[in-house]
Amino acid sequence: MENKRGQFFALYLVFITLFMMGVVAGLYFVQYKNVQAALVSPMEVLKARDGLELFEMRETELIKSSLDEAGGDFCSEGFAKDFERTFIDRALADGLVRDFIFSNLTLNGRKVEEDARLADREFFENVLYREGLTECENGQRFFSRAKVGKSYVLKAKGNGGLRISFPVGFNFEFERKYKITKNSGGFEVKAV
Amino acid sequence: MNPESSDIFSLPPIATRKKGDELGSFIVNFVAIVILAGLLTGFVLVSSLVKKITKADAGLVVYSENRIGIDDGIGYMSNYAKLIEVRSAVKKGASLDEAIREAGYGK
Repeated sequence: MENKRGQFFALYLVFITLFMMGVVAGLYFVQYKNVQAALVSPMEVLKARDGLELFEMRETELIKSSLDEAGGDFCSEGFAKDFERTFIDRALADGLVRDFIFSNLTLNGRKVEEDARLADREFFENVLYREGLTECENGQRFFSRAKVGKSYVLKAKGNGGLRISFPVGFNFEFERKYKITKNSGGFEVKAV
Repeated sequence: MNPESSDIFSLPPIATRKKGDELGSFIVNFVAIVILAGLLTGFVLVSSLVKKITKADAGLVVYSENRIGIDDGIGYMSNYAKLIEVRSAVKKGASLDEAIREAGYGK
């Protein structure tokens, strides 16, 4: 008797195709929830940038008001000390400055938030606005803020119970130098 | 041809196969190919339909906006517009606190 099983091979392909389609659809519905959870929100980056802008606006304001308080010749050492002391007093008393500087603070890549908060005034005087960063040249005063950084970990929102999560590290460093000139109308402060 | 000379591994001569067998094979293959083509076409069409419904044209589906912070982003944009107002007020000479209060930044 002749074997006729070969005639049905083409029909097996139909079942194999159906099975493969089922696998694709099944994997899609099982995996899509995990895929969306792997995305992280960029909000911390945007907030850090806005925070830096606000901080620098306040810093400029404090520099101007501290310059008005300082006495003596513009390029004299007495004026510089007077100005720095007043500026640091005001910066330390300002909530916006303190919150921005101390939160997630890094120095040379190391997290120093707790140490800096403990050191408080010393951190401002000896690290952030240390004496060597202030100078006077040709009737212009330069006032600098040392380079410090911030470090954040961006996580997927509501990642409890998810199998997949890829936190993303975000670091940035910032510093600034101001040029202060004295003219008839008072002091002019510009970032350089 | 001597039927005794053929062994069990050799195919039967074409002349001995029935016409009905050939027709049956052809019909089964034809039907299977039609079903396969239909299934694959249906799969592609349904996939594109799912893609359209879930708005995944760019290759990424967002099923829940609040889980990846997109709704936060929308809130952020309105706050950023206020920050621009603050920036412009400060440039015009207003104090930072006054500009923040006027613009309603952070609220």
